[in-house]
Amino acid sequence: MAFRIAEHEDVLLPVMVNLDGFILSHTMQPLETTPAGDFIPPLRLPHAIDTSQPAGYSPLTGPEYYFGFRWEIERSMRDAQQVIREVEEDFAQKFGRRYGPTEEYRMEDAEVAIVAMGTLGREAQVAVDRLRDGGIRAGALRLRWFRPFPRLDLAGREVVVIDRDYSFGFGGVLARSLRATTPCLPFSVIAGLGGQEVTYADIAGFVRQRKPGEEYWFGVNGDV
Amino acid sequence: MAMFEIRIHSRGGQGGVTAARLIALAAFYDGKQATATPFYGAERRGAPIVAFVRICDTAIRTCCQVKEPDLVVVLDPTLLTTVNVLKGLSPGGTVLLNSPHPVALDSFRTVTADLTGIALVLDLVIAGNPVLDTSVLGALAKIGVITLDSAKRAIAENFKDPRNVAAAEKAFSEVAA
Repeated sequence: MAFRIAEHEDVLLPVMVNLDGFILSHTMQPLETTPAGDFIPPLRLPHAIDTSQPAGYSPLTGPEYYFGFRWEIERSMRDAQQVIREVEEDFAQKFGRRYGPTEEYRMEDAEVAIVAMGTLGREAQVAVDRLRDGGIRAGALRLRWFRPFPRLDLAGREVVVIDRDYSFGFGGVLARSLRATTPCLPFSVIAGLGGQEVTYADIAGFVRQRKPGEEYWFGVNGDV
Repeated sequence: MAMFEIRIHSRGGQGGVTAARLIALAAFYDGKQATATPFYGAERRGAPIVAFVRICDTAIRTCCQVKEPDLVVVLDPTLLTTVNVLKGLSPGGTVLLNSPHPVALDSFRTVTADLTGIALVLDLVIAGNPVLDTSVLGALAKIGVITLDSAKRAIAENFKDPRNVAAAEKAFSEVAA
């Protein structure tokens, strides 16, 4: 899907596919693979070098064009939302696997939503099962794309965000992105940096001891 | 089947990580979901190493370390005095220990297999180290964690030397479980 999105004429931007280094990259697990078939069409870039139509290319430009290019990037980012949806729909039609901006787990009646990315989002799903066994109606939202940042509907729910990142002097990037786009006051947990072990039991603990609006560095600045 | 969790203790170079991957692969061939995860610390030859295997009928979502294993595998008996290999072991859990003679460990069911002896008999030695990470699958098949057929298939797909499969068969026939 990344190729289709990146090469779409309305986007033409690189797509970065991320995975948790060491944690996912070194875990051996069964994967279902699908033959790509004709899902990815031959590459056709509108500005590819064509010797029959010589043109000048330069990585450098002056201010009169530069700022316009910046706008073009942002316009492509905005258009990418729709392109991603179209490509995902086509993928679902061809391969029977449907995704979306978020992977939702037991969210229908959830009173507390755990929002995370990557393996932490998957670990959160196990935490949700544990929390529900203990009478806490939790659900998990795992973001599948981060930019353009998807609009999430978390109305009426408490939110616990787990960031395996930090923007120094500002906050957890996911928590801050969420607060900027969705009316919510998340409990922001910073955890797992540098390979710190974060278990589903730890995540269940974050939820049990959530303090809306506050930030907590797991294992570093004391107990919640 | 509920999730079955294994922790493997070995020393760097003994093949604990490889064993974890082979066990997971064999379990996958048995039709199960399985993951193998090494714990990366200061890995170097001779240093204590830990690796984990999870086996389940349904998809495994957790990636974290195994804290409460159902089975502990100890490839080097000298680790018994330096590492708490029994830490978190579930009540009624099993220890598979590479040892030429029977050992009793607390109240846990302890199965011993002379994996080093098997490697030496078969002359399955690489760079001076007896190979343990393939024969251990035979012992685990005997305990019932994986089937012997899947163990042999996983080994044969990863190692050309037929003595690796022979070592697993030998362990399977020798272990009293």
